Amino acid sequence: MRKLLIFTLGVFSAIGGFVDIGDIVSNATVGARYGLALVWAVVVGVIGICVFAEMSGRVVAVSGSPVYSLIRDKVGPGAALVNLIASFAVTLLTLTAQIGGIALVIQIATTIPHVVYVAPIGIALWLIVWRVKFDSMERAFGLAGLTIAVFAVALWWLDPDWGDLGRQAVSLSPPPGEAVPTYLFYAVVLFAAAMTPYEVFFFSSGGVEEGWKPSDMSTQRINVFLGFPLGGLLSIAIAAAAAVVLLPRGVDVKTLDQVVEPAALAFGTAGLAVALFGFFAATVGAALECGLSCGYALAQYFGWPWGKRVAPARGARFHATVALCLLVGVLIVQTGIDPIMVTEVSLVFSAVALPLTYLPVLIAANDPDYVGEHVNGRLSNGLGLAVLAVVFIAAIAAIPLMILTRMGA
Amino acid sequence: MSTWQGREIVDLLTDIIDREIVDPEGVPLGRVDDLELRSRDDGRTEVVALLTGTVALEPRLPRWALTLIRASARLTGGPDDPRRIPIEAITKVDTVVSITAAAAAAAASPSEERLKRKIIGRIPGADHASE
Amino acid sequence: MRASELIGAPVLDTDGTRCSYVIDLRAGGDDGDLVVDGLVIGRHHWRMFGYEHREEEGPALMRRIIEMLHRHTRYVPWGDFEIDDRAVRLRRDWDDLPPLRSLRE
Repeated sequence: MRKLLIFTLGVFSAIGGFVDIGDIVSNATVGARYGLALVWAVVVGVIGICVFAEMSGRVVAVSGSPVYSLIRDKVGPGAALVNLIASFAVTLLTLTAQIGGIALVIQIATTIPHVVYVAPIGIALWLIVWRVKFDSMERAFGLAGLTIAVFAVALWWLDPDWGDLGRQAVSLSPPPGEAVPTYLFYAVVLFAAAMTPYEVFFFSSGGVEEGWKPSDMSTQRINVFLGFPLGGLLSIAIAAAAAVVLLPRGVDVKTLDQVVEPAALAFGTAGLAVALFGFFAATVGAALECGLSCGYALAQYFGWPWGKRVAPARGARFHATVALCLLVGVLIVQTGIDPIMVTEVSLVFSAVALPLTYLPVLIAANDPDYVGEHVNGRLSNGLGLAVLAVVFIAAIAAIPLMILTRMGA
Repeated sequence: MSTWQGREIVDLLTDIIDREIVDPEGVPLGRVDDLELRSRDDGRTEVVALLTGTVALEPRLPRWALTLIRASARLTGGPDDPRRIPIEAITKVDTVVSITAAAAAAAASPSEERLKRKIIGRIPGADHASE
Repeated sequence: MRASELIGAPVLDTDGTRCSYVIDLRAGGDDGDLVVDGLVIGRHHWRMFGYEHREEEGPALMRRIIEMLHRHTRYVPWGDFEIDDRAVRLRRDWDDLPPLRSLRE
């Protein structure tokens, strides 16, 4: 019974943990503009994160080596440093976006401008990093994030033309009158939102924190293969709700209020409250994951003691890094910069940083020194290479598309 | 054929350099940033020590990265001399290099120590792992 | 001497022309000591990611790419070269050195 409980918790926290401010904003924006015509990009992204999270989980369970450690082992200090700078900058930007997201959620709930909340949020996040147990933190925010499912319920309640939604979902081209480059730009953004680098840094380092062993491998596999796709469904629900409520009115999503509108329309204030609660939990959870990931990446590159399993006094450099990153995030949001814009920029640069992160994972998952007898099978390798090909294309296309379409304008 | 740590062939870059160095509890204390070699009397060259620390890493980094690495080392009161771990202190080599407790204590990072003493260790709760 | 002084160092052929770079130092046990047996040298600096250790390691596509990049990579045993001033001088013609592949088979 206890085992079943832990197992269910794992799946649920994977679902809630998948969604962050990047997924929320990009899916709502895209849903309001293209309907479900870009669902395929989310699906490809979810397949990608599943394949690589499973590989990195397997490597951790057998060898105890988290992803950033692999990158340094496999590509050496020079190339790993290039990747470190890129991933670190992107993760810091993503952290900034989450802090902004949390502040915006509280702003909607209280109608007081979000800049008021930024510093208290920073302090609260730091206290959680400093004191709270790793798995309690993971579970609490993952589970609370599940309330985003209110968008799926709202969709069912609003009872849209399902046939029409279905037709949008299977069309692989932009709706009439929409330019192809902009459509592709949003495809890259959605793909990057599903595959953001911090997710594998955090997932694999979390595995070390929780002390996974080879016997945990099957549980982890189910967490990944159930949790992430269900998390992807939550993202798609946000897009579908936007497609039903915002698209017909021609709303161009610019603020978080617009994103929560479908839930409010279906269930009034209660719906709004549940949606905001879900967003709050998801962004707080993601902010913690990003902040810790900044520390994980740096500590693993240099071989510092890291993580919540060692006392902060033993991991002084790790804790100093996380605290500094939270401070930088807070200061950036405090300037009053639009958090939605920060989110979009962070996603574009995520796409660029992806290849150097995932290639070493694929190599290590084939190396018996790292995974013993559990080396990749044909399916994992086939999917891994296919996803890596998409990752390379997205990385190359991201910046030109951003410039060409002026950030999807 | 003679072996070392159970291996017949040890490719120094592929198998040892860049790996994490851990103490007997598995807590990392650095990475193998370089190796110290010595010419023996018979003319052969042997590996005598692991070197760790940003100063040891510098020769292996591209030039543009040096400013950045040195600035970050100064941030924690460094740069410090590379720490040297004699090869006899290695107890096991797999995806990480494990060393004896005594060697780990001798090779503890000075910058970690300074940061702990001056800032992090003074914050309440610093001595408790959150587990 | 440091390993980093050798790794990446240029390799000069018997006629003094630069023919390759040191990619890795291959070592082995000698009565408990770890002794360098020879050098892995190749036309460029690229790593082999451990693919040199095992015949069967996947994915097949990656393995082919690495093998293709390293088709000229060779092994030069200790005694067949000398080290002077950060360069490695071969005592045997590059063309006579065995390709790395044959060592595994």
